[in-house]
Amino acid sequence: MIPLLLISPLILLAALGAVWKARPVHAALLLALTLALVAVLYLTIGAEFIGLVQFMVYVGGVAILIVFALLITRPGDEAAELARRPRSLAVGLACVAPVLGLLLYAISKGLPAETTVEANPALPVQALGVELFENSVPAVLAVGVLLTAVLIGAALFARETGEASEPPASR
Amino acid sequence: MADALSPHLPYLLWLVPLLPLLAGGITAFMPNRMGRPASWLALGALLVSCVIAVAALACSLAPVHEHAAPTPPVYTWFSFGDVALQVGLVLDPLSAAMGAMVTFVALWIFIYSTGYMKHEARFGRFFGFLSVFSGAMLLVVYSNSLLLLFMAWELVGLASYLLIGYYFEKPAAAAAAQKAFITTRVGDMAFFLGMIWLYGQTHTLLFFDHGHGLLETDVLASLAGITTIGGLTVSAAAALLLLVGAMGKSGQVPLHTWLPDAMEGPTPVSALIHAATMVAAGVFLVARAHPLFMNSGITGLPLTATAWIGGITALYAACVALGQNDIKRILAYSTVSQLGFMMVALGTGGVAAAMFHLIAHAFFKALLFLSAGSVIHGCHDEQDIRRMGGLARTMPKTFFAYAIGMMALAGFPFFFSGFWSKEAVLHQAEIWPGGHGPFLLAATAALLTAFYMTRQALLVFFGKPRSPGVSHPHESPPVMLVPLFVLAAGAVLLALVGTPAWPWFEEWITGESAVFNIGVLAKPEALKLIGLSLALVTVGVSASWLVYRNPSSDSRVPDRLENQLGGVWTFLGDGMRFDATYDKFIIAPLAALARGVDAIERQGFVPLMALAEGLIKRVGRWTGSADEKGLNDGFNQVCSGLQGSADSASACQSGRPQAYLRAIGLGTSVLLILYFWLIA
Amino acid sequence: MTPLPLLLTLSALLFVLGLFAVLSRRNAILVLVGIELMLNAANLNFIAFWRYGPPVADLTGPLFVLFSIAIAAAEAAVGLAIILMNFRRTRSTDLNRLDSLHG
Repeated sequence: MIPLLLISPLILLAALGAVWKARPVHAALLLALTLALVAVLYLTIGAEFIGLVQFMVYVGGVAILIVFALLITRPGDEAAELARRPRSLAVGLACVAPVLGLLLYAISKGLPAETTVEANPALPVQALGVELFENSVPAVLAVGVLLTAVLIGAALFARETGEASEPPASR
Repeated sequence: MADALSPHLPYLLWLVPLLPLLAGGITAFMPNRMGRPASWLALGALLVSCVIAVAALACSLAPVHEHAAPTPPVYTWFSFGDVALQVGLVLDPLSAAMGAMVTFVALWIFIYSTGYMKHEARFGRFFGFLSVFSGAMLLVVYSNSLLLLFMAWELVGLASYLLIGYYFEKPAAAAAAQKAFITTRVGDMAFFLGMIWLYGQTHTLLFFDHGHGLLETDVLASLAGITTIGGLTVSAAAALLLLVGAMGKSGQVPLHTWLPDAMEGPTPVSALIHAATMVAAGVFLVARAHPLFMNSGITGLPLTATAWIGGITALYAACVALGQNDIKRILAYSTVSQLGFMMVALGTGGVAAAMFHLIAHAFFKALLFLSAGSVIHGCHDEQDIRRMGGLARTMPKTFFAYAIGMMALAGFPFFFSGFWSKEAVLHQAEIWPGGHGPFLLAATAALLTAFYMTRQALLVFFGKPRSPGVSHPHESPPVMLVPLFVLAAGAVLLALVGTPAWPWFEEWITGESAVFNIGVLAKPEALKLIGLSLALVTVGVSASWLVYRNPSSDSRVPDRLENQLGGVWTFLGDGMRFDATYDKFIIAPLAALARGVDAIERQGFVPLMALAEGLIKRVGRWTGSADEKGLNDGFNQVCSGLQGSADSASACQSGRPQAYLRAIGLGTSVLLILYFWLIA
Repeated sequence: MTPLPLLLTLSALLFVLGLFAVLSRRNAILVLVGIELMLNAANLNFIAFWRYGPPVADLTGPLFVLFSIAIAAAEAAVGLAIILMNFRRTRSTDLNRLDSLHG
């Protein structure tokens, strides 16, 4: 419980920074931080395997990917780019407030009767493996196909084609 | 043959007027260059009509006992309710004789016209009009219905108008045509009134209708029994109205002014219409309606009026003819005078005498006109007798024909029909119980007739030519000369049927049997009149010869009578100033009235119309601007309002993904909130 | 406060923050950041219920999260590839410039 109470505010702060900071690289790095902290959280509550997967994939993959993408798409004029803040805080808050209200409401109404507060159940990796590769093989295969497709697709999308560097005529 | 033909005659008789009318109708559709075929068509139709008419005449010359009252078939023209208007044709001695004369004379005049009018531009149309005229005239003659007669009468007037105005490029001709039509119209109004009056009283307009016709005893008795305005009986009043109609058509004073002007038409027209036939229609009408005239009550006013009017006309026209210098106008006034003679005969009770004179007059007047035409044609369109002369030597054939006509008209004794016909008229006038006035007038007129005809003959045919055009005339071609000789023969031969020695015509007309009895000539009354006629002719001719013998060779020398009579001569030459009087007292006020009405329209009506026009235009402009501003602009505003709202609405479609996402998010959360709040 | 409500609230807040980023960020890549946050929040929910919810013997929670992470990675790759493609055409990652559906 104590670790939870310590980590949760950090996660929130990092997430807030990721969402609010003007410089994109800062926001991306704060995202990485948020994801890392969440992984730590997983580790503390007994979902070690998941936490490690989170580290590897999210922090080591997605966050890096995002940072690279930001580097590639750096605007020529950084100052002008930075001057643009999120349009209006009020509008954004107005849009998300109902959702927050709903979620909190759901939480308050939907809490289950009995809960487990004992010691960590410790995620059994072997059982997870068996579960994965014996009972949900189609799902795994599907994900494999998906990842393959994504790999090929992303490579195709992102390759340098001859005419891609011209700006479109309409603008 | 007569017996074989008579059952079909009532139907064949319709062909007599209808064939020329049909030919005229067809000619109307023929183009101008088909002039010669048009003339053949007209001639052919008239020839067939002539044959049938002569055959009809032959049939009606049957023995007397078959002359019961004629009962020809009638056809219902149209009917409304239980009232029907009926028309039909009748073949009695009057119509048979007249019809045969009209077709015969018309036929020879047609033949003459093919030569005389050869170089005219509207040759085909001329024959079309002539055919229409002939058909209508024949319809007048044979009609059994007063209505049909009136309609054909009007048609004859129309044809006369068209033919007088044939040279319509000449203003004088156009004016003359109009004058003829309007003057006869005055008479026609009276005719129409009389006709309506008769119909109103008797509900029939048929002359002979199995005893119920207008001219049959029952109806005549009833008409004579009703007294109306002025103490006249209905039959007298109607008869007087019909008389006025006849006066218009036959040129009796005072409705005569159109006849001399009608000489503007081509000479064959003058011969056919204004000498032989149309002007005789008035006389024919009175002859046809004679029973009505006779049975008109004790006063006998219609007959008296007829006799006096005829007498006055005869003398008046004979006087005026003395002062004329145009060869055709002399003959025109002569026609008026002779028509007066016929009216005298009718008024004094001599229907047969009037008809005989009519038929004889038709032949020799047509002959005179055609010879005048030949003279005019030969003298290169010269019409003034003061500039003619010596044509007896240079145009002998024409002179021969003319001489016969002139002698018939003047009344040369024994061998010419004119002598016997005039003698018959004078005889009737003399024995008339109503007084000797008409007789004296007619006798004086006969003397003057001899005088002026001799004058014309001397000035035209004797002496030396008085103008260059007349010195070398060319004689007319055979197509013009043969009709002259035929008519001349007729003028002589008819003498045979009219002598008192053999009053065949008179008896036939009145329905008694005729007996050839030369002893009649020896009776004192007969001798007295023959002597009187001889005396009149002799005095007239001699007086004229004395005045006009050896006419001078100079055309500018005034007429010898003019030297004697001075202003009286000019007065006569002007037709005793009838035209001037009419102009002053009738035409001028009417013209002033017309100008007044025109002024009213111009000053009053036209500005009113302009005002209305302005108002309407203003209303139009107002509605136009209301439409422009109100409707159009309103509509435009609605449209731009719609567009504005559409633009505003489409502002939501910014195309930016985040805006859409926000909308989706908000919408979904609102829905869920509502769901949880209201339902769950 | 028991752990479950805490974790659930945390995940709710993370989700809302991610939603805020998605709806308000101008840079397309930062929108992707928001999406990753949202996905993470969902994963956190699953793990929270598996660990602190009613005791169950199966491993549905972690299994699901595994797959979710894999798919999130794939989706991030594709998304970035698309953003790169667009960057090549318009030289910008500004989402507001993608308004050709503007009416």
